[in-house]
Amino acid sequence: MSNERTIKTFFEAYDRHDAAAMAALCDDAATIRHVAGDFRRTQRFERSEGHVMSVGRTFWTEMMTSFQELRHSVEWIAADRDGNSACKVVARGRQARPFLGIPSLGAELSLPALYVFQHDGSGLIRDIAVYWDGSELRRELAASALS
Amino acid sequence: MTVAVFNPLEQLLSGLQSHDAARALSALAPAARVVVHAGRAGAQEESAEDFLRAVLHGNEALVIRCERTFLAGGCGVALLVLDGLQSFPPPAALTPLGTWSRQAWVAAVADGRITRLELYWSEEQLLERGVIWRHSSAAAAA
Repeated sequence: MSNERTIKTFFEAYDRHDAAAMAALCDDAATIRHVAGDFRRTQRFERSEGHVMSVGRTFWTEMMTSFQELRHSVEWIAADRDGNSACKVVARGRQARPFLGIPSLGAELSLPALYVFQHDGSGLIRDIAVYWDGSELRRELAASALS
Repeated sequence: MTVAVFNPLEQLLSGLQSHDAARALSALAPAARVVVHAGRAGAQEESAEDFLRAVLHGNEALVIRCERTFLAGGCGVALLVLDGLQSFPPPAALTPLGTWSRQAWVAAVADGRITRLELYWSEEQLLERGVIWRHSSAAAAA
């Protein structure tokens, strides 16, 4: 599987709410870093970076359970031959329960994000860096669905 | 034999790091645009040259630490930490403030020049680091 195909499969699994399939695309020791501000201490989170099998899976599951109709639109993918790749996605969904300590007002999310991956020689993901604007996330989730 | 591929994004960042505006801006194509995905509702395009000149003007102690760069097709990507003693982005630069921001810069490249930049960072992280710096400064003065 090409690295571009791996990325598409990753987000297809995300939209099916299949965190196990997402993790299966990653090396067991793969790492992830969310560059979105420091997550507030919540029941599930203390850190925004760590291993995919801990922080990554927990965060993905939090997204899947907190947003209805969660969808990731992949706008572009760029990949070189050395295992580097990046893609821009827009995450969309309606908040249905508290997320990262932010209470649910039923607001619509439409958040652009940049994902930067490193793949190993066999195509497995070994590192993920995710960039989005934490203040934009809070601004969108503060908007009531009725507004 | 591996042949190094010229990456204009590296040239731009190197120019910014050395506060060499001419070198940095020579990596841009005429009429290059920039889009910032942080700190504003709905990203808007603006002149890349004006934006980068303002970055240099507003950050005399600017330090750019590149963690990783690569060029994939017509797309340059850089993961970096932007550090300094003045606020960023420039409109708030009148008040000296510590800056520490993890950012990703993505450049659309054509004919060896950057035609468009997309910048990603978290305004929330930037503001939180600023608060930490202010607190530390006050504590040191006390």
